[in-house]
Amino acid sequence: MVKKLRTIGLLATILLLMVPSFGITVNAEQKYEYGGEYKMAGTEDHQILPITNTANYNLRIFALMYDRLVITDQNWQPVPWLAESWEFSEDGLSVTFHLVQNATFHDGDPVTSEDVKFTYDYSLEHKTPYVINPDGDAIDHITTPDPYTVVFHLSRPAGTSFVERLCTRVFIVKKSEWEGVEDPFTYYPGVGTGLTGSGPFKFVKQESGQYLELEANEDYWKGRPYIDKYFSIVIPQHDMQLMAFQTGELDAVALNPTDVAKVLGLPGKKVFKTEAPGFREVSFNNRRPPFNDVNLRRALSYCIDRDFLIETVYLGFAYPNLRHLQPPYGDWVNPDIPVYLYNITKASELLDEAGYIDQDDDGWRDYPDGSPLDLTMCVSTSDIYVRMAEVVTESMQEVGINIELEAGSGPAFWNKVRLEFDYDCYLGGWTPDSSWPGEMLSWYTTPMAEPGGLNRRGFSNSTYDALDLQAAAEQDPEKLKEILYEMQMILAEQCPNALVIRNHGLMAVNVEKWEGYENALPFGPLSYLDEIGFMKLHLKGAIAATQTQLSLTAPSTGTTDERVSVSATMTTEDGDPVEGVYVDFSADGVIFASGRTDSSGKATASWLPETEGDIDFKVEYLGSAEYASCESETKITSVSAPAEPGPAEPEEPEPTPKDNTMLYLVGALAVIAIAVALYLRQK
Amino acid sequence: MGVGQVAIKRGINAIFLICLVTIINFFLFRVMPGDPIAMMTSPSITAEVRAILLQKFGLDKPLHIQFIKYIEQLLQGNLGMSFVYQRPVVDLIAERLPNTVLLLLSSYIITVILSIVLGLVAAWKRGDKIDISLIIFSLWMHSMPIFWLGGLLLLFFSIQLNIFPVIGISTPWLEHENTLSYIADVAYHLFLPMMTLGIGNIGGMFLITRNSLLDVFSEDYIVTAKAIGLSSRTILFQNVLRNAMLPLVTVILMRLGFIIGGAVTTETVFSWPGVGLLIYRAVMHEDYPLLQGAFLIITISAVLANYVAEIVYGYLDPRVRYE
Repeated sequence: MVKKLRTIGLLATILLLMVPSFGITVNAEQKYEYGGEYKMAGTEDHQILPITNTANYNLRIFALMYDRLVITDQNWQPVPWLAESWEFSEDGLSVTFHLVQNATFHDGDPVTSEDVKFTYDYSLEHKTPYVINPDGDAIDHITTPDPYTVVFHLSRPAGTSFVERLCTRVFIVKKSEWEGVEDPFTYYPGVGTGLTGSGPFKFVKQESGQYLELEANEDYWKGRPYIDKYFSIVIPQHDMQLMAFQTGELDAVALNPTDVAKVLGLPGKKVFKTEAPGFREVSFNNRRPPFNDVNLRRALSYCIDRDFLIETVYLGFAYPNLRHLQPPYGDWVNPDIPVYLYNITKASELLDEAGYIDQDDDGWRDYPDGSPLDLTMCVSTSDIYVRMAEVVTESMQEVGINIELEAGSGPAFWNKVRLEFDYDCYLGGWTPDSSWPGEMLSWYTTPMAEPGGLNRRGFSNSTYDALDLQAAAEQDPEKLKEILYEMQMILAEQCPNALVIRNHGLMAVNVEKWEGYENALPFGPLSYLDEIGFMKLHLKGAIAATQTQLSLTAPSTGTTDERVSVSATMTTEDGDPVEGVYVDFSADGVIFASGRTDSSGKATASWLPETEGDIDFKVEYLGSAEYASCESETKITSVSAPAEPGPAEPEEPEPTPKDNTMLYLVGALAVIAIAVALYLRQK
Repeated sequence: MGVGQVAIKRGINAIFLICLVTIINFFLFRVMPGDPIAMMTSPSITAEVRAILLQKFGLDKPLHIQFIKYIEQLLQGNLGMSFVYQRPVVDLIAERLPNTVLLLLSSYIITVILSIVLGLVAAWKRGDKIDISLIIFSLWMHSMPIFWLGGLLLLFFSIQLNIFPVIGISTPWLEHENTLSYIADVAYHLFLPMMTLGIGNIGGMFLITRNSLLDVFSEDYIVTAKAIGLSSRTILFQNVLRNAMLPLVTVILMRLGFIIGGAVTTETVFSWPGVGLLIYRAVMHEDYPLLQGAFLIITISAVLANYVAEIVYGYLDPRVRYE
């Protein structure tokens, strides 16, 4: 039987050969000192049971404590992990995973195919959140021909999505520990008790409301991590997280655009930014008038002044988003789809053509039949979103659309948007859960338009739905690409939403004490699901005296929205190339890429100038036990680009809206209770 | 009526009150439009997962069935499972309560001592510049939001001077050699939140102290005491303060009950792992069982404190007669 190696895996392997920085054989031999505690913040206690997990927030911890069959690497490509290889049957009805043979759980027992089978079976049986997706549903049964082979038998052909959308999300648990648990949703092993995983870190303890402590797994089958301990410290407020980072109580913190200036000047701290996938959008409610009319959707898509938004609201830390897939998806992005650049005149013309003209002379456009067109744009009360919505509605008003802003938070508001779909349009954001390029596109299908589903826009197109099903079953990357291109074309033509921007993943880290940071997709160094990053991180130690130098090759001028290639060569004093170290490229103090030097000491990166004017461009090596630090600087003058930007890109996680209504009500209740108490007491 | 009888009667009242609030708690959180599932998961869950989760947490059942189940569990001392933490609410509260009590009691002691000392000074120097400035100071503190005061203290002591930690109750990565060093670590972390809450609550208590003292000052027996030539000190401590203590004790006890719920903002600002932080998260996520549990605790402590205040008052002041 001829079995086809999963092609993306193959691609990844080829990439691996081409780009040395790709290395997934982590820490095979000890290169640095072990030691240190790495401290990061969480907004609340982490759940520690991967089976019942409901929130992405906890994934960081699971990634450290458990292993998955497949993970995504620093370039956001799926790479073998617990499964060293996998293959699909020709008919696509089964997929076979070959497990590594040296993996053990924290108690020393080997990780076998039985554990893998159990994890999936158990999750499916109890319908746990992360297996309930189109790929999980396709599993018919699982067999284990030998201790290191797992075969998934499927009820319908599966494609690359099976590996990328499902297998990168399921953490393998120990069968003997879980098989007695009847209902995982009411199971709790006890205060401060952890469970046995096979990941690079072991559970030590969890103090409710305070911290979660993990320690290095000395016997990790991919080599021991250099960090001794990892702490996730509970700090509910972002401002306090930032303060704790400033005082050194935290080693890394995620930033908002407005925080960057506060961190940039601090000694021993660096800011990394990443091109995160995902985007902000104005989703039109395609279910009802007026936005069931594609002409209106198209016209208003021209009303998004992205440059202005990026400059004022995001302080430069965002890219314009013009396509439904973003550059982190690489070749999967269809470059030939129509894009809707900011153009008020064009919007007006289209509205005139479609018959939306002012018929009652009140200064606002009306429906073609003459009835008044009054619209509302909903937005969550989060600062940055409201400001964005203000800019967008203003542009729409400029073309004569009577649109108002309704900023809401709280359950009633979310019900309206998520369940009842009682709104005209809504400004919000999305982040993909996996690297599978079809994932975000599947959020426009008819089944997803149900209450609570992700297709809040209510976009429904039968051709599109059929393509989505095909995509999920497609194994051939070329064919998958064709399908995804077509889907993107339909979306671009139908405009179910107006694409706005995508912002950067911003992360500030302590480089005084630690080294080995590597800018990773999708959300920056040490973002959730980044076990590779955590395994590379190590204490800095004394910096060696071997002097080094860097020479930077970069153009002296750039055009906004046009990617340029920059490179740097690192050599010792004597001119010998320095191989295998990471150098960081930064623009105006913010590191946008880390490049690993090749055998000639050269590291490259691609850079997208975002703002006009003189930009301080720098490449630096922060110094290590082998080589002293060095840097090289230049100025790049960037000019504004004419019209159509390069491959456009989108966004990042939507912060959970803060809801204070409940707090007030609850306060009111307390007051009532007190009043009653006082009253009775008086009596 | 004797004090014993009164204690029983008031006790029954208190229990009735607690039951009433328990019932209101249950319905209040549920009648509000809301979607706990959306709050506890990432927005990108599918409709199917949503339905499953609703079922898992019993939220698909009609309200009255949920209520009966809740009461049933409550009678067994079971407050249910928290949606967000997926742990028994009783455990969560039991873990956090000592931390909250530590913060609240210590800060409350600060408040009481400072208020009484400053109140004495102000009353003694009535109309003086000191009096006026103390009143202004106390009103200022009273009107200042606690989170703002906390933020200022953090900025100054932690960021500028870097002498106090920003977060938590202890240093997680320190291995403490003995209990003493652990206590020292906790005290170090406790200082800023304690001072914030202690100073922030000073306003009302200070004014009550000052006014009760002033009331006593104008009593005939004080005039008499002055007339027979007793020293100021004797009058102040033996006559004035003793008599003014009565209303003060009542107020001190009564307020004690309410502060359990009053530390939400302080705990949030200082990441203090107490019940307040738990309530904050529960509100954010519409975690019904946790909210109910936390509010039950607040209710009980408030009612209990009132009850105790009432009984103690009767003992302290023989003039008080219950009808």
